[in-house]
Amino acid sequence: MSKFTAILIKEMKDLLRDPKIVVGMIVVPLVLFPAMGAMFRTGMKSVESEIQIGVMNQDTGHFSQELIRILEDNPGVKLYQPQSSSLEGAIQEAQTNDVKVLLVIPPGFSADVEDTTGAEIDMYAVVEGLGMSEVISSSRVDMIIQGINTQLSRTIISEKVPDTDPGNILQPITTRGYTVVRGKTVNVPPAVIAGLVSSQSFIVPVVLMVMIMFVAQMAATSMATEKENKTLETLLTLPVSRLSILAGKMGGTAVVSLISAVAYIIGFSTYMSAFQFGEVESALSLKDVGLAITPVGFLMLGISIFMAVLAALSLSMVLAVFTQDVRSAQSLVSFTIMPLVFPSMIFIFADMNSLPVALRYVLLALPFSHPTIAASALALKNYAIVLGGIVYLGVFTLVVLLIAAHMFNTERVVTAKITLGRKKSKSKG
Amino acid sequence: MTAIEVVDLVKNYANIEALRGISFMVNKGEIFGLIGPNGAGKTTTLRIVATLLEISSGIVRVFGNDVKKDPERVREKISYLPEEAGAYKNLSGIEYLNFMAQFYTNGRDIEEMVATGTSISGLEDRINDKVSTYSKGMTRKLLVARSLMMNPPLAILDEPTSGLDVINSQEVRGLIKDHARKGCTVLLSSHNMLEIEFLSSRVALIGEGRILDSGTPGELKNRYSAQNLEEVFLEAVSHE
Repeated sequence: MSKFTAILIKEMKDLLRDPKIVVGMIVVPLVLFPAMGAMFRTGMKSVESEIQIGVMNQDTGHFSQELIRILEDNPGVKLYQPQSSSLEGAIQEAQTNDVKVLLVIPPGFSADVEDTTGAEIDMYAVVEGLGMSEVISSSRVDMIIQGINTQLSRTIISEKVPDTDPGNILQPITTRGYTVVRGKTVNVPPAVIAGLVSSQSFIVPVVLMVMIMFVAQMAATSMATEKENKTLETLLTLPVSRLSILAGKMGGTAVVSLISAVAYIIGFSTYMSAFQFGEVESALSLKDVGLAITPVGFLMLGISIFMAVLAALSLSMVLAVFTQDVRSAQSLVSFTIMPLVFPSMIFIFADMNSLPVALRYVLLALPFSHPTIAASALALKNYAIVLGGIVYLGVFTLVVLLIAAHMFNTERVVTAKITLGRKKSKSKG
Repeated sequence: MTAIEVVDLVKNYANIEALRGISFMVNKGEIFGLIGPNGAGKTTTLRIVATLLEISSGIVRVFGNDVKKDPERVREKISYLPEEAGAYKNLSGIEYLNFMAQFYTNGRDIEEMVATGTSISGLEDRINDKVSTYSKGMTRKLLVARSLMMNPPLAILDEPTSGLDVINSQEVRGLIKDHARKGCTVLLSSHNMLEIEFLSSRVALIGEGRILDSGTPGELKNRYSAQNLEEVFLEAVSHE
């Protein structure tokens, strides 16, 4: 086994056996996020379940009967007829019979609808707690009433203007949407295209930020642990090149960080899927509109992300060299890396070309923006900017790596001491 | 043959002069002790010989290899035990020795070296337990075992018995003497002057970054008409 491999394996063992790392960075995302998603889904299911609506009908006309019929036809609704003739009695019954909403149709309701003078009904939401399902129940009834309004409008229009399609009066203008994507016209509105690309433009920056922060924290922890546990001095006097030590530590850290990042991505995706259960799969794909990333594009995106991870690793190693303990290293790395990663989040909301020129150049100067820029540029087949980004990241990483290697070859790796939030320990004679 | 050659060694940290031109030589197979109070420059000297710190001026050679020009060759000849050393807490004792052995040998020799280390450590079955479960003394014995198991040409030991009880300290001193008898050169520092007197063939007294005097323990005691090295040191300091 080569000396580099020995360090790499030691690094992985040391990190993967650390309960803090295993629990915090692997178990928690794989358990906590899906659990949160499951809880949300359970909450939403209770909201979606059948709702009992009480109707106190004081009207004798046919429109109130029509309203009750539409309510009865609604699959998520169970009707309850209060026995009491008084409002107080009906509310009390609602409370004891798990009726979430009580509708009171006043006398003369049908006549008001008939005369188009504006009919009113009273809605009493029965709230037992402050859970989401309680609050949403009344808004569900609002939506049902909205639907009833539309249906009643159609009935009134049909009665008053018999030979006309009520839809044309309710909505006299309809829009047929087309989008021109890279010179190709597709007959879908821009909102649909935006929906298709949103997952891509959202996932790459989020995943990248998670990965970069993990890699950075892990590299800082790995280096600072050597200092805190007083193992670094021994390691540096072993018959192995300092470059092999640096490479071994970076390699081991990268593997463990990637495992953590994958755990977070799986956990996060499971969590996010809890919010998508109501969505209908679109028949349209990015390929249909010419926005799909080609296999070569994916390779370039992979290279770009890999280079960004390498840049974060080297930068964190250099920063951690200056610290004495794990806490200081993690703080220093967060303070330094976060401002370099966070601005790339802007690409979730805005295209680079729509940004002011100065901001555009600032973002281009930040190394961690480039994989995010690459994700949208590759969809538009703009390979030049992606290649430029990869070259820039390569140069940035090389410079940081050279600094890291230089630091490892000097006494600074032993003597540099930045302490954040703790007292400095005295140097010995 | 000269194992260590230190000539006019100066080490400055920012505005502090840690070493002010010290010189000494250590012969092969010798146990050479550095004694002095806290902040005298003992650890700095050891860390320079171990290639951890850079020299401000002067010359340091280990078996003829310049620590400044050829640190990697020097590292092939040495084994360094820092005073405040630790071992990887998430590895077992045997995994730690195995990891270290891979830098000095390969193949079946690794197993032999680890077996030697296990025997030196005296940890018996506990060698298979995680280092995080060890007491301070057990960790120190593991580290001493690590520094001696490869039979290094030069062992640099900073306070080798630090944190050990009387019995274990005695055992470690015996191990150091045994290794010197096999031809291993030892450069050690200690606050414990009786320990240095027991172990060292020659001694240098360091105070405020300078060598105050050097010689065999016998020579020094005669020179200062002292009963032991503690008295020698106090006398040497008072002459300054």
